[in-house]
Amino acid sequence: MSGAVISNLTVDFATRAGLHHAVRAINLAAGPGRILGLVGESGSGKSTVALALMGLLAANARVTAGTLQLGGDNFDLAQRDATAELRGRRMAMIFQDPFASLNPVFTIRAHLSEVLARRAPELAGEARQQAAGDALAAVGIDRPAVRLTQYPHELSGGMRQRVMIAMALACEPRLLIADEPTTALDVTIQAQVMKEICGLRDRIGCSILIITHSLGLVAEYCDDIAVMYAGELVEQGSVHAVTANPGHPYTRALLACEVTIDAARGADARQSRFRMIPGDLPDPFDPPSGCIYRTRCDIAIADCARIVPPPVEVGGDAAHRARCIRVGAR
Amino acid sequence: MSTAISIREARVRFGHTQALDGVSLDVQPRDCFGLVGESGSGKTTLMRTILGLERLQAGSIALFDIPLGKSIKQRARLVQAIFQDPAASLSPRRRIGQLLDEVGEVMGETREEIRIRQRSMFQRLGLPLGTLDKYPYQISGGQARRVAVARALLMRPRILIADEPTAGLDVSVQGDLLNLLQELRADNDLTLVVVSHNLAVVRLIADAAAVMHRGRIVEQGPAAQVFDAPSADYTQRLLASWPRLRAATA
Amino acid sequence: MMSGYLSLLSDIWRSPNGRIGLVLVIAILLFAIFGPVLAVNPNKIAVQDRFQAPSFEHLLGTDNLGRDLFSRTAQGTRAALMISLMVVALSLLIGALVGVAAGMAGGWVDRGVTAFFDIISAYPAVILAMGLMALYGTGFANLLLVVTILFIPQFGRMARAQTLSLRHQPFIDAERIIGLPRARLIWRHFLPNVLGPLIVLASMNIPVVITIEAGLSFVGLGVQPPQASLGSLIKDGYTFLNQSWWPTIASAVTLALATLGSTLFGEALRDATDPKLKGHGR
Repeated sequence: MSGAVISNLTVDFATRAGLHHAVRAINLAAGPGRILGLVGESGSGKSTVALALMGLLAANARVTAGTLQLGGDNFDLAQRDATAELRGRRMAMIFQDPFASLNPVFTIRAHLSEVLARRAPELAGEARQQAAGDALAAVGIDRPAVRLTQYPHELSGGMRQRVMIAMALACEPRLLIADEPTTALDVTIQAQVMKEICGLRDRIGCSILIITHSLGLVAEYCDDIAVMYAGELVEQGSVHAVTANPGHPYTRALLACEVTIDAARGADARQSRFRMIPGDLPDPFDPPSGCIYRTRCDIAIADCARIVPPPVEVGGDAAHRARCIRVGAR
Repeated sequence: MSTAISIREARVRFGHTQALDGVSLDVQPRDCFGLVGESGSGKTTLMRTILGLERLQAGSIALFDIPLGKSIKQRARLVQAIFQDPAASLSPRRRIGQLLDEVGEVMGETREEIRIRQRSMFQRLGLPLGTLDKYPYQISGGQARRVAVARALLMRPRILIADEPTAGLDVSVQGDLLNLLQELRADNDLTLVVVSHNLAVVRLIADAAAVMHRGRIVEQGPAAQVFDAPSADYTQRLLASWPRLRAATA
Repeated sequence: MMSGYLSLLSDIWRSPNGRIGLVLVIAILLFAIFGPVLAVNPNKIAVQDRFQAPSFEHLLGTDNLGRDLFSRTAQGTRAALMISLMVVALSLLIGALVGVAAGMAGGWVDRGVTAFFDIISAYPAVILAMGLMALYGTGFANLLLVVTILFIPQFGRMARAQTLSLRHQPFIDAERIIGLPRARLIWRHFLPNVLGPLIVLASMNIPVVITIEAGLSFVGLGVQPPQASLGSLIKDGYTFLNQSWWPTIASAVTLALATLGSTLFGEALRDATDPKLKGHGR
């Protein structure tokens, strides 16, 4: 099974204040059987990428360019409903809010049946029931037979996300997109849900794209990482490579700001100070010339305003690329 | 020396749920105390009870040895809070200046007195004075946060509670607020209570902490002990679940 | 604040229905305010001039007693608007206070108030009004009181619902913890946020009150003669319909326009202030 390749994705939003450039020429590759963590803060455009892939963007969004290559087929993302046939079949999505993702008037069985009907219409009646129960059991939900008869409000948040994963499993997708799948969950449940997502990868070898703001999550569970800033992709590579040797100043700064659970702790808590990145996001209606990050960068030089940085290899690793003309400088 | 906050056997029940199930803890003055737990742990209920927004059904709370009755007015001079969503904590149909004038009202100050203090507080917090004339929807989220801090500090509390200070904040900007809290502690002889689910941050700023689970305190003590050498099972599980940034090995 | 109101008016103007409503409301208002001032004495009886068609002297003709219809209709419109505005204002005020109190107090106070609202709204409006008027007698004050009572539950329920949802808002918590006294909390922070939807409800109730008042006057329980009311004018016109249809036309059309105009305006106001509808089709 080959992975998913997204090329040159560009999305604008038409607003009263003008054209909001949310995503600019993003190139992503989620390898088969690998989990790619797309990391970004607010305003990075990461959720827009997910929604563009699924064709779920708002009415005022314009995908001006972009293609998705999945399993040998190409899809022109600039067309509305380009990926409609993929939904529920070769592509599945898990959303952030487990409390809003399931229809409250349908039982869990109804939800799973819908997915199974689309994926494997030849399965009916008893066989479909069986498949639904199996899907639930596969994600570690206890007493599947009982759960099938329950309604979403009878399940906890973590349980609901697992149902979403079960639905994704039933699709047997080539690409699973998870948009902030654990943000609304407690950290202990988060660990369990991420384990199920990794399990999905192991079981069916699909590519998984996880969209998150948490570097920690990506570092702990993902194989590859892609960092977005203000609509652009600034760095990409394996998690090992990027966290050990960040090439882009933004990635470096972000890693420094992240507060880890095992950070060095002084004797006096009063002395603890926290890092931050000073400055503001650039104006999405009028982005700066050259490098998008230069207004907040600690190593920016005059050329940064003239040149739009191309991807540059970092540390001799072809898969690790950062868009900075001063990779490695401090 | 009296303890800043002294809670004994606090119990609060909402319908079928026992939100606080016999909670006892002490917060020392000038400390930063971390109250951590997941959703449903009771930490928010405990915070609201200290502030007087919820009533204790059993047990007692004393602030600096003053036992608290039902009246909120008593507490208002001792403890203040900055809430999780600062923009939502500002009354939408009133100007910022009007909201801050109310502080002068409840403290029995004249208009002039409170206005002078407002100005110096704004200067200190890096807020432009023009903000006073704006409505809450006209200012940015970051400014709203600082306005909320200003209002809390104008009350001259001895205890400041920060409710989920990093929730909703990007990692690259949360440092700003956290550093501000550290400064406030130093300058103001303040006792700080941070209610949060962010274990990593609380571990670094708290002197002492308590871990709550299902309405009970499962672990309590100096931060070094609670976070680096916890005795309770639940605390260990909580810390183990926290995602780690591994340094790469070749 | 002013710009808020102006943008509201422009939103109303943008919707075709709202435009019609606004124009009609202004026209009716002008008629009610200036009509009686410009016209002749509405009670001047001149039997020799009865049932005249509209002329320069009598813009809408005369009724069965020779009274000028223009001035009588204007007077009736004025009465209709005054009564509806007063009723709506009073019931809004009482409903708001009672509703907020119930929402804040909770417990048996809340349950009692809700039961009170349910009892009033269980009765068909006009029957209740007729019954009360028949019991306690006619007269302006009674009319006002009776119709006000009819509308208190609507405002009360909305005020209560708004209060319940506001109670747990962070900004209310924030005001409570600084120790703001309860009365000031309600007056400064609850009421302004509660009043918004209530005012929209009020504007949608104005046509209803106009219709109820007209109905009561039609059966003789409303405004009493010789005071003109749109309802009594319609009734008089109806009685002498075979001799002249002008009296009926003048009052009925005016009533229809007043009701239509205020309904359209009220709906447009509701749509313009609904934050969920903002951004649709702009």
